[in-house]
Amino acid sequence: MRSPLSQQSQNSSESISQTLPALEVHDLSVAYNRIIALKPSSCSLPPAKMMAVAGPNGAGKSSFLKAILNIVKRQSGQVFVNGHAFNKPQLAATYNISYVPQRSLVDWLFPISVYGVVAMGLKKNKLFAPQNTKKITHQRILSAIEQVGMSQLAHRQIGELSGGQQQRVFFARALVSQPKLLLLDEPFNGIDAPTTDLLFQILSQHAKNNHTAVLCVHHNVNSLHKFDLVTLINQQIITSDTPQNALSPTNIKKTFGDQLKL
Amino acid sequence: MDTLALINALSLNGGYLTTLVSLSVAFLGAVSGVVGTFAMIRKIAMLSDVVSHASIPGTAIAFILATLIGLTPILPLLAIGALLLAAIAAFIVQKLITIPTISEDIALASTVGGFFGAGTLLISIIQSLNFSTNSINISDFILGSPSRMSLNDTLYVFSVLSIVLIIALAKKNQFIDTSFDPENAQLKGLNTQKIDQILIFLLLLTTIAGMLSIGIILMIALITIPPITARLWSFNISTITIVSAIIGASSGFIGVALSASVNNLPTGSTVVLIAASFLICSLFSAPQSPLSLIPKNSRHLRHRPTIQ
Repeated sequence: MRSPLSQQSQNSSESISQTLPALEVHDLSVAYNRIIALKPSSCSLPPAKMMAVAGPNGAGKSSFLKAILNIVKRQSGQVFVNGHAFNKPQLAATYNISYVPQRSLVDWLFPISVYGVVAMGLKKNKLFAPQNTKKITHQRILSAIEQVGMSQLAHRQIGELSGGQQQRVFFARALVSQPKLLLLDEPFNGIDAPTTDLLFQILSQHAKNNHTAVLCVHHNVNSLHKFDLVTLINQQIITSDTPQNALSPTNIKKTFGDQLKL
Repeated sequence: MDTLALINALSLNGGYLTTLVSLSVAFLGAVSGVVGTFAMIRKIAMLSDVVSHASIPGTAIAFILATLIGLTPILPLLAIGALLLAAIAAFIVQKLITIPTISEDIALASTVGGFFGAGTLLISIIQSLNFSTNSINISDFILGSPSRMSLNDTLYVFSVLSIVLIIALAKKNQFIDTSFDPENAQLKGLNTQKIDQILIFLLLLTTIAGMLSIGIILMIALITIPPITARLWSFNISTITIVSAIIGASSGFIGVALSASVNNLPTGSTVVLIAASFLICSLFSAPQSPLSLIPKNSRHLRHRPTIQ
C-alpha cells in the first residue's frame, strides 16, 4: 500500500526523497481494555526534522509512539514510513527505524555490557560471516560508543552506570544503525542539564548529517522551542506545527489546562 | 562411605552402569546449565516447575495407556506423555497471564497445584490397580532411579539433549535480544513470540530428559541453581553460559559418583545438593555477590567514570 502523498509525487520521481515525509500518521488511535488512550490522530514529519511530542501525564504520548511502531496494538489508523505502509514492528529493520524506550522500563541488572547493548542496535553477523564484515560491524559499534562519549566504559555492565550514562548507551544503540527515523520516549527524563544538552546536540547533528527524522516524546515544556516541530497531545492531537504556531496560549490551554504558563 | 568406589566412579572406572549414568547426568547438567541460563535471563525459570509437575499426570497417563495396549512403558514413550501435558500446562500459564487480574506468580502456582493434584490421583490409581507387574514402577520416573537406566535410555537422553544444545546455542543471540528488550528485538525483525516458544520447548525437553536419572521434580533445581551461581561470577552472558554448564556438569558427575559409593544415597538429591553447595560457596566468594567475603579488586575505582 502506498500513502496518498507518495502517489501524488510519483510523477516527480526525482524529488521523491525530498518531498516524501519520513513519517506519516493517519487517524491513529489506541485503546486499552476498551478504554480509549488516544483518539484518531494524524501528523506528518519530513526527513531531517526534529519533532517533539508533548502533553500532560496520561495524555497518550507513549501510546502514540508505541502505536506508530505497532508494539502497542492500534485500534485504527495507518502509518507510512517514507511512503511505505508500516504495519508490523518487524519492518522497522527494513525501513531503518530506531527506538529509545523509557529508561525506567529497562532491566538494568541484565548481564550485559555497554558494548553488548550497542551491538543490539545492529543485526547480528552470521556465524560464518567474513572477517571483514565482522571488523566493520565492530568499528561501527565502537564509533557509536565514542560518539556518545562512553568509550572508556565500553566494557562496563550497564547497571554500574549513572542515569545519564545509561541513556547515552541507549542513544548509541539507536544511532549505530544510522536510522532514517528515530523515535524516543522521554529520553531526557531524570537526566542532568549538561548531558541533556550533549544528547540533544547528538540528535540534531544526526538529523542534519544523516537526514534522520526524529520524533521525541518530551516532558520539559520550556525547551520545546529547540525542536523544528511541536505536536501537542491530550487524548488526541491538539496541534502539530512549528513551535511558534503550536505553542500559542490557546493550544497550551487546550493541552495542559489553565495551570501551565510558559 | 566407600572411598575406593568414589575414586573409581570419579575416574570412570566404577563399572558399566555407573559410568553410563555419570556421563549422562553430567551431560544433562551441562545442557540444563545452558538452557537454564536463557530461562533465567528471560525470567521464565519458574515454568520448569510447572513443566515438572505437569509431567507427572502426563507420565501416568502414558503409563496407563501403554500398559492397557500391552506396550512396555519405556522411557521415550512416557516422555512423550509428559511432554504433551507439560506443553498444555505451559500453554495454560501463558493464557492465564494474559488476563489482567491474574498475576504471573498466581498463574504459575495454581497451574502447578492443579496438575500435581491430577498427578497424585493418577499415581494412586496406578498403584491400586497393581499395574506395576512388569517390574517397572511409575515413581522411578518421577523421583528418579538411575539404576534402572538401560543403554537405550541413555542413548535416548543423549540424543534429545544434543538436539536441545544445538538449538540453544544456535538461537543464543535471539534469546538474549528477546530477554533484554523484547520491543527492540521485534523492531530488529525478530519474531519474539516464536523465540519464546522455542525457549519454552527447550525447557520442556530438558526437564523431561531428567526423568529417569534425576527425577522430574528435582530437575527444577538443576535448571535454576547453575545459572544463578554462574551469574554471581560474571555479567558476561557467554561466560555465564559456560560457567553454568560446567557447574551443572560437575554437579551431575560428582553427584552420581558420590551416590554410587555411599549406600542408599539417592542420585537426584545428591546431584542437586552438590549444585546447591556450589551456590553457597559462590555466595560468599564470587565477585558479583553482595555477601562476598573476598574484597573486590576494585575495577570500579580504577576506571572511575569520566563524564565529559
